[in-house]
Amino acid sequence: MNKFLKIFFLTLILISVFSVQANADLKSKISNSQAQEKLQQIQQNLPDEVENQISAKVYQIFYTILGKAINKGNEIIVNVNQALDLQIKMPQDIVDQLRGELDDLDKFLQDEDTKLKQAKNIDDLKDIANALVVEMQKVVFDAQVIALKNVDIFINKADSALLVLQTTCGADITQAQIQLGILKSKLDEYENQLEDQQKLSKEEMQIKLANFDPQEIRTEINTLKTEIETLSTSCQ
Amino acid sequence: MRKSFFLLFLLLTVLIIMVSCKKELALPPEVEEFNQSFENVNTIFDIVSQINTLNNTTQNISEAEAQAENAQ
Repeated sequence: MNKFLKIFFLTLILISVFSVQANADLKSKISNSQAQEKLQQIQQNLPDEVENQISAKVYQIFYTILGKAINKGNEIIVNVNQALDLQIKMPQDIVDQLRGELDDLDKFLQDEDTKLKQAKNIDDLKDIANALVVEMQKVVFDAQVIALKNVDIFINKADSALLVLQTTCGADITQAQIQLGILKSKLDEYENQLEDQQKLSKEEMQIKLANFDPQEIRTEINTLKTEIETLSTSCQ
Repeated sequence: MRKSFFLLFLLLTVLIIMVSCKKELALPPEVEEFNQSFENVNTIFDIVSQINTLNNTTQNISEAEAQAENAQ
């Protein structure tokens, strides 16, 4: 009997706890849906003046962000051009390709800046935004292609250096050649990634370009450099 | 006269030894080119990483565009 009472009271307590919880959930759902209805009513009944004010605010924010994006582009052009000025030993074709990309971007940004100043509504801003994204993605993509082309040049130079070290002083280049193979396959992997990017949409391209991390390939390059340095020191 | 001739001879010998030592120490041109190419590849990657920051800018633009669309 005692046991039965215990179970009975326990069940009663559990039922009351659950019913309180269910009640609270229901209330919050009702209040949420009521709030949403209320918000829709308010939005529908907004006076034109307020709607115009909101549109003006959105326009202003969008305009500012586009202006900042153009400034950021110009800032990068200046910094990269300064860095290129210091590269006297870099192959001229690589420097020219990078400068060409920057010049195109510079002209493009000037045009978009003019369009931005003449923009009349949000649709005009959307057109500018779209053009900026496409052009900037193109520049980033091309720069990545140039970087990988340079890795290819590095691999060829490493190949020649190893051959010379082997023939002139009989260096054992086995380990360095293994490292060279690793670097070549890493380069293939990156090149395939870039080929894929050409087929992507604007949004997918954004994610892919952001994921381009050359750190792995740079580590392999550094390892190969150390290998060849050790070989050439022992040859001297 | 003899003394100065001897000194000149000594100086020339030292110079020849120095030049030949330097030649031995110099790296083959292929290795020099490889070293230069290593410098280049690193510089290019540094430059490209600067250019890559443009992708963050495009992300900001897209977010602003989406917000403007929502607000419209």
